[in-house]
Amino acid sequence: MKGKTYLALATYTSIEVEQSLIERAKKGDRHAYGELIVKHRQAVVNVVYRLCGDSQLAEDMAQEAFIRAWQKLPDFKPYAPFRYWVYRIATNATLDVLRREKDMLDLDEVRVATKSAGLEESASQAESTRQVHQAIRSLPPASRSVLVLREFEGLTYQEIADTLEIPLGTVMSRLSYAREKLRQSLAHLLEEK
Amino acid sequence: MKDHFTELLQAYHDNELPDWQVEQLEDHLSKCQHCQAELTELQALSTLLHSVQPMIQTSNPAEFAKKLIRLLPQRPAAPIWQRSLKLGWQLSPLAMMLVLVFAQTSVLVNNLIIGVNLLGGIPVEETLSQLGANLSPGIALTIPDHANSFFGSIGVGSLFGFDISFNLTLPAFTSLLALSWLAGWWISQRQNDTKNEPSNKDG
Repeated sequence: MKGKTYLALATYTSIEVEQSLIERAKKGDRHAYGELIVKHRQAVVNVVYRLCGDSQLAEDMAQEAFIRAWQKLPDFKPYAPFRYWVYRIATNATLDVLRREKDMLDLDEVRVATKSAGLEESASQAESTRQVHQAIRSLPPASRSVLVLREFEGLTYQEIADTLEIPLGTVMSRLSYAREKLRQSLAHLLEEK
Repeated sequence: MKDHFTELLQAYHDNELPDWQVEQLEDHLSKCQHCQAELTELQALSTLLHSVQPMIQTSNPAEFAKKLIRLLPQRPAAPIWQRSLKLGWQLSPLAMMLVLVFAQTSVLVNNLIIGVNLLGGIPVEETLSQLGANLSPGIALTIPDHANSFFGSIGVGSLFGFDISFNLTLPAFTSLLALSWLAGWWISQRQNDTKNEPSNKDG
């Protein structure tokens, strides 16, 4: 019985099944789109959370990204995975909001968000988490999105270039810049390690 | 030189270097303490970043999806080219009607002037030359032989000197187009209703 369940799960996660879900969703099948949401929702929320450091905003932006993706779905070309396509929509939507609000969330809000995200963390770990979030958020949006996709989502340079629609060289330079900035701002934490 | 190795070290750290460059860089790393320190710092930064807690699931994915499905518009918008084509198709009967009205008006006015002039005894050829024969551009205006008099011009097969078959073909074609448009619209509405039925049931 368990074997069958695992087999079903493996089949579900296959590219062919996802393609079929996308095709059905393109024709207006909400159930198929719902399955795609369930499958990719957490990854999208995580990307947005890494970009903004706010759990509520991450939820809202993920929701916004899936609604925009639904509206743009007939234009989706399966050259890249569906998840990366939603990442791009979510990243753009989040960066738009962040630019508009211009860091409206102050450090206290970030502190609340990180504390609620890790109740079992020790105080010092929570503090270093806060500092890492702050350092990431202080990066320019363009470099921040490249860093998040590479470090946290593990996308290759080419995948990042495709996702954000930027040249490969730009990916490398933005990543290098982001890391250099983080090394400077988190130098004290790196020394502790 | 330092920047050059920094870029290479970054690519090496991210497993993005081709094999031949990996060998070269590893060879260099075994000799260069500065680059070793750089690489160690890159690795330490990655470790630090990954130590940050990922986002905690604040709502059930299935619940999230269910809630989101209710917020979705009726159906995905069609691609731009499809929308433009659809709009063009919807406006085509209107365009045809405008062409028809323009053609009919031009012909009627043209022939009315010719008829009035014939009653006044002015020869057709002279009238046409006076008008410049350009009253209805794009439409070849031919005057049948029996149109040399006003009453002759409304003889069998013509209306004020203009072929009746043309007068009937254009409206018929326009009507057919309008009807096919209506049929297409009705079918697409039916399809929409059918597609939305299951999701409506789920509420």
